[in-house]
Amino acid sequence: MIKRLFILILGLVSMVTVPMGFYMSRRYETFFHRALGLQVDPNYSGGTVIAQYYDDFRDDAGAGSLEYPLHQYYEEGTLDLLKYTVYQPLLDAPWSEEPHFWQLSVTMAHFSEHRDDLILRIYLDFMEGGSTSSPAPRQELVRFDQQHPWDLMAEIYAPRGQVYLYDSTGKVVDKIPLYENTEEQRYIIRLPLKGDLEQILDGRITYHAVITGFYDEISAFQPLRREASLRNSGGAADGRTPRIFDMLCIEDNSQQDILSAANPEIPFIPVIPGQIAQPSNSTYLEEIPGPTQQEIQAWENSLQKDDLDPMERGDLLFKLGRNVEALEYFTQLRKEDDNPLILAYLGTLTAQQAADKPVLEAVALVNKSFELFQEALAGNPPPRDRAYILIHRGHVSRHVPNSVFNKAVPGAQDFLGAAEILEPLGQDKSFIKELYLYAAHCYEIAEMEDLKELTLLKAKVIK
Amino acid sequence: MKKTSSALSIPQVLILLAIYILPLMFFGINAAGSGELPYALIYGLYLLTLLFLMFKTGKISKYRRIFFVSMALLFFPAFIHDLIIERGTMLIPQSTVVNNENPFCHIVIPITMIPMILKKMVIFPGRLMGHYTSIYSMLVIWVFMTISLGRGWCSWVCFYGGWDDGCSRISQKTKLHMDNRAPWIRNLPKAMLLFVVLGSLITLTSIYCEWLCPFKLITEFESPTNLRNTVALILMIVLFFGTLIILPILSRRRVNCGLLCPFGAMQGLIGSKIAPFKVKMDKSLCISCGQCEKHCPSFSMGKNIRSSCTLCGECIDLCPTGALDIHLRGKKRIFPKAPAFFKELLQPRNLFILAAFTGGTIISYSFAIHSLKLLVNLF
Repeated sequence: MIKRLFILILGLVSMVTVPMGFYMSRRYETFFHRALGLQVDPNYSGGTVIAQYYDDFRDDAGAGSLEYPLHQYYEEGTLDLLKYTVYQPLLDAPWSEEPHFWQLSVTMAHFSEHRDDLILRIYLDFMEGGSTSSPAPRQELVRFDQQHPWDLMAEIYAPRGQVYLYDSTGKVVDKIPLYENTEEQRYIIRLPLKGDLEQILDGRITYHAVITGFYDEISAFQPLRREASLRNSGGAADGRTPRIFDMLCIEDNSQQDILSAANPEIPFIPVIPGQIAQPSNSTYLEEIPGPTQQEIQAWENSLQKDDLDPMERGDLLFKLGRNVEALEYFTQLRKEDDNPLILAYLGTLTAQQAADKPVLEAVALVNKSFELFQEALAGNPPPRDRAYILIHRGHVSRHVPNSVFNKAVPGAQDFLGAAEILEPLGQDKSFIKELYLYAAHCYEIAEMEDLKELTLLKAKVIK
Repeated sequence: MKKTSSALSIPQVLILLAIYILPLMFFGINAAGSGELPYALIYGLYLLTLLFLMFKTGKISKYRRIFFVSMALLFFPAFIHDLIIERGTMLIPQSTVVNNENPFCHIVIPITMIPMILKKMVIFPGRLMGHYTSIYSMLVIWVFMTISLGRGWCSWVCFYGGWDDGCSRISQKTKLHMDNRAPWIRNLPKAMLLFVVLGSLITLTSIYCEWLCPFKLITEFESPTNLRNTVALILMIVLFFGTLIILPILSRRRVNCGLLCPFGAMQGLIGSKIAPFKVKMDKSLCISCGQCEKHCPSFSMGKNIRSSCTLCGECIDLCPTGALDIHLRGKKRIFPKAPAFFKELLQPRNLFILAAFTGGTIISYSFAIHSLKLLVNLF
């Protein structure tokens, strides 16, 4: 009887499941997403994102005083850049009319129905030569950084659904479709990888400048007046005020500082482009140099000295790979000294012991190692020591199996945290770069491709 | 009205209709857009009538087919109309691809399944969330439907299946014999599934959608502006008329759904194992007349009932001895010793029909009432 009741319940549940499935499909989406974490293959979504830059919200006031025209048609925020996204160039993209392209997208604060008067330009520097001026004189009233003259400019002109591509001589060289995502409030362009643009496929650094203004049929960028009128923008200091309402400002550049630098004596002001590196898929860890023979010899020699600082002695033993000696040494030293760095060395050396141990023992050693790191950090070490403890922990995190310990992401954070501490302390740039590369490796282990590539980008711009 | 031994009495039918009317009203009212309520009511009455006849006469297949064909015929006018309103064309515009807005239909599930599992990537330019045709939404619906209906989806819920199902009953005589027991017929669905899945895995493209889907002709397709798309369009036309119209008419079989659809093959492999409802044969009653094998539209009757059975009810209706019926976990009657009224009322076939018909109702409601309105406005 119970079995039959169960069968009846099963039948009834099956009946209920059908409408439930439909009714709940939208609600269960989030649950399923959390469980499955699916993404649309980058080949279908324009490529892997290699850089995203955020621009301030509500800074669409040029040098700080620009006003939109007064007619209600010109809605606030239409020219406000929020995010600029650069994708990995794609070859043989499926379902795409243009199979080889480089996708760029610009997210706006407001996607007005009436965006006919928006003009948005992306200036790109990716090869030798180029121009530091606008395609036609007196357009934006800005001049471009001489270090990075632009080679190609994509002009987004929304009402025609077109993007005009200009070369550095100011000639329109191509016309490509403009794609709009109204829900995400972004413009998407796919630059065909032909001609000069093919060069970016070698993984070089490209430089980008993104600016917006109101479109004007005569001068491309609408001239500014002192007072805004129904159809004209206002807020100009004089006729040479840059006609840019918003620009992509990354790193430490302030839009207001740049645009306010307009000087009646200097008719054009510079727009500083952002650096966006195309990460190469090469084995980036190979960039980190190992110790040379001379260095190793020097360490050996130093170790012979009697007057060596105890910590330095331990460090040399560690660097020379004399792990057993180093472990004994630091264990002894721990009894005499409360330097938290000792715990960091012990943490690493303890984890290293796990390499050839049975699983359970290895897990216990690794856990003990992380306890030592935690103890070291709890000891409130000075900043530099704190950074070195983080580096120790980062390396252990990078080497232990992520599937067991799930330490890859914390490891990346440790490296980045260490870099953040050491950079202001004047640490050697190449060392900081190494930390970023290790962080990228941690992200790679965690299969977080976007973060890995972003971290590689950061590493690449450290010089 | 010819009745069978499975015909129910009026009170029994009314009880079942009362259960059905809840989701009918809920989803009907929800689906009705502005000015569409009268059409929702008309469609609701139409569905109630079909379900009433199905229970009252005990004939599953006939009324199911009427419902199934009308669902397929009502699907494409609404879909195409919406496309044209939204995009101005049936062609897939690049903006849809760029914005990952392509509707994700259930047939894409097996094609994208392995990259989903291995790489957590969907090899289709569809939307992940936030729409009934989004990837997660379709996955949720598929999971729920598979748990309850298994491959019953293919005869009750799929909005495409009515094409070859309807065409397979246009001709009274079989002009092209396709032997259910032929090895190539038995293995073709699995081979097709394997080909499509492996092909998609190797190329990381949804090759079925790009090259082999016949339904793109009545939904959306890529602009034939280059050789590749032109070849794909020609192939699509050939497959549409060949596998959905001509071959089903000649063979009286559902050639596309039974042999070529990767989703159908996957449901055969997975759904039929999971779902609690199955068509079973009481061998003690079988007189080996061969009617079931001869008329099975989905190539599922051979020596035994195959996992590809879509629970369409054709064999059940045709069986002269009542040897075939829908079972729930192997039981033809849940409470065989209960009073006749409840015994008949709670028989698995009724529970299955309610579940499957409700599924079809919900999925068809949104487009059916929209299409009815369009058709009325047209005339």
